[in-house]
Amino acid sequence: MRVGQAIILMIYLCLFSWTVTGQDDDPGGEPFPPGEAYYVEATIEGDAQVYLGEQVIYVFRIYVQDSPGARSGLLQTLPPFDGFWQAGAFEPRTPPVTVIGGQQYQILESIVVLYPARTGQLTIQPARLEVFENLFREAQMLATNPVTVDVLSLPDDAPPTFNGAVGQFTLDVTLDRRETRLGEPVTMTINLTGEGNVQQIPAPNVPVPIGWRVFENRSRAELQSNIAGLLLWSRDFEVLLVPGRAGTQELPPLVFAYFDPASESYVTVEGPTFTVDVLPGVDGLTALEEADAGQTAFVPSLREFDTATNGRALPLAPWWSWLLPLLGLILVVAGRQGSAYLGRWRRQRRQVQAYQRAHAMIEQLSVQPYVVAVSRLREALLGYMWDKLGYSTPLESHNIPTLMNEAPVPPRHAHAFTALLTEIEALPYAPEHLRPPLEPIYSRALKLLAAMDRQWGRE
Amino acid sequence: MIRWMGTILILLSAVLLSAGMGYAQDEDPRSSEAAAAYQSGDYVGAAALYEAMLVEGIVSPGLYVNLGAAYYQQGDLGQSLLNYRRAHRLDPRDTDAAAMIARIRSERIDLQVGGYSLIDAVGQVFDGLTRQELSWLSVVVWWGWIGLVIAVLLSKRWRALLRDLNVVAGGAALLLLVLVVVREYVDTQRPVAVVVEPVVDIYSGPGEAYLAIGRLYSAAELRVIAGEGNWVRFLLPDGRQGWLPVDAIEEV
Repeated sequence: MRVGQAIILMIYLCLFSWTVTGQDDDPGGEPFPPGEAYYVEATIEGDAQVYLGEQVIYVFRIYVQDSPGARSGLLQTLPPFDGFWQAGAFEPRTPPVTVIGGQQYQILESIVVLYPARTGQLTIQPARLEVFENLFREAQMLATNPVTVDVLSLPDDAPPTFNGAVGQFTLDVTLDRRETRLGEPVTMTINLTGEGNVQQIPAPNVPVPIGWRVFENRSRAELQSNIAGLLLWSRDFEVLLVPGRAGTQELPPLVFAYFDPASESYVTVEGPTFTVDVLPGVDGLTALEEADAGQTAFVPSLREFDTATNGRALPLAPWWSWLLPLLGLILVVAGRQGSAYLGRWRRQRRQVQAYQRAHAMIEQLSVQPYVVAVSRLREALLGYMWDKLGYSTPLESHNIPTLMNEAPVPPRHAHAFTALLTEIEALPYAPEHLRPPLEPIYSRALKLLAAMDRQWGRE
Repeated sequence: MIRWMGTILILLSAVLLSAGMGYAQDEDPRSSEAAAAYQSGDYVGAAALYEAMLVEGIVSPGLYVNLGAAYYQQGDLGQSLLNYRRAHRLDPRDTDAAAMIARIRSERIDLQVGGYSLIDAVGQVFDGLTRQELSWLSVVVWWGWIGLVIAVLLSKRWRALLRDLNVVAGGAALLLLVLVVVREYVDTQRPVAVVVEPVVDIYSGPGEAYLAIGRLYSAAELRVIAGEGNWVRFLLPDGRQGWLPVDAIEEV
């Protein structure tokens, strides 16, 4: 039984109203204090001392006072059933109504079919009921008492065919046909019906004549009936039997053993004996004869091998072999980032120091011959602009007008710079006696550069 | 950079190839002795000699194949399958071992079909390679992909040319990495084992006090997924689980 199924059935129960034909009961034999709107209890049907694998019926009952809206807003939580295997069944039972303290109560039952999976004292934790608050009631949380089941181990004298079945079963074995051809399977269906753990057990061993092979095909289990509180399960095992020898052959009866908790003893039941006509194969040989012929001829071959290969086997790739290329990738990316950063830093440094460098160059020109001094002055001016604009290649005079448009300086400074540069470049071509003194030009150049530098500094 | 990466790839490929190549024969005298015993029908003696070589630490697919053959001739399908599977694990492209594994599977009592679970199925992708080979293949593809990424970063000319190849190589590298991790997890945390007892009862919990839920016979294969004391929890190929004594199985 799954909790989800339980909740779905719970909803189902809430949707249908039961006829009130109550009687004054004492539910579960336990005294309930009168006057409450809800009661809960958890019980084990029947004996609380069971054998390993024996069916245990766990019932969680909710008593709901018969009043409008009392059955809505309820959430039940079943315990985890540790130590049990859950087969699952859930049905309402009679009586649906009882009377406690003169009040009628509807009984909502959650029934879980369990099979103990280990011996000893197994405790089922409390089941819970949560009542949500509404206009007519307050929120409540109710819990049952824990339930303890004493699980006994099975007796030691199990017959060889016992495969874990505990309960009371009937066996029915059928064969789909009585005539087949060599190598073509016949299907045997083994039906086990009864009260017990048929869902858990493996297919019984099917005895077959020599040369036959057995393949388990499929199996299915279903709840067959629920009469008077008895849960009857039906399990079908489908087994394919492949004949390995031609001729009329008899399939030995299938023997199934189970432990009956009622009589506390093992019970063995037998299926019928089947006679099957197996027609020979197309070539007249039987499959077994073919297999026998092949089996005697087959001997696995040995192989020469090298005993000195130890240590030469390929090792697993070390974990760092995946990290190494990542490290290389990180270095490459870091190198590119570092290079770009270094370039930016150098450019910024050049920009910051442009005026000082130009100033230092111009101050040293007074000791130079006229033509050299003019040439150096031109270099100082172009160098200033080169540093400020961050160009990687040296500038020429003809670039200056265009570049000045990009520089963040006022047009008057740009025009003054271009005019000064033009004047300086013309100086070497003037006759010597007409050459103007250079000191005023140095002074103008320094003032202009200082003004431009201040302007750049504000940007 | 590209030339450097190429050199690395060639070196790694050489390592892989050399590992897969045969070595000069260096035969142990016990190997001949065991072969003679086998040929004369003394399969127990042959198996004992091969086992002694294993105890000394000799690891070879051929040794496991021969031991599997000796057990097969004794009718011990469990030990035979175990050793053929060990041979196949060391050399997944060994067709003889694969054929014998298929033969034993057809002869054992348990009919086992299915693929355990999704993660086990993923772990068996590229099962023609050993764990080691798969790991190195993954490393080579991984290095190749990272090399492509570096080439793309360093050269604008390569960027357009290598874009599609980069995507494919990246997908392959990540896929192989996942496969390596899953294979490693499956092989170490959910190892395959073989039932070596003629028959063993399986239980719903770790002990005989639990409910017996079935039986497995010699040469049944399973995956060990947990352990508790002398009991192991197993998973069968069809998805069924249970517990059995650790002595009844041996890990491949």
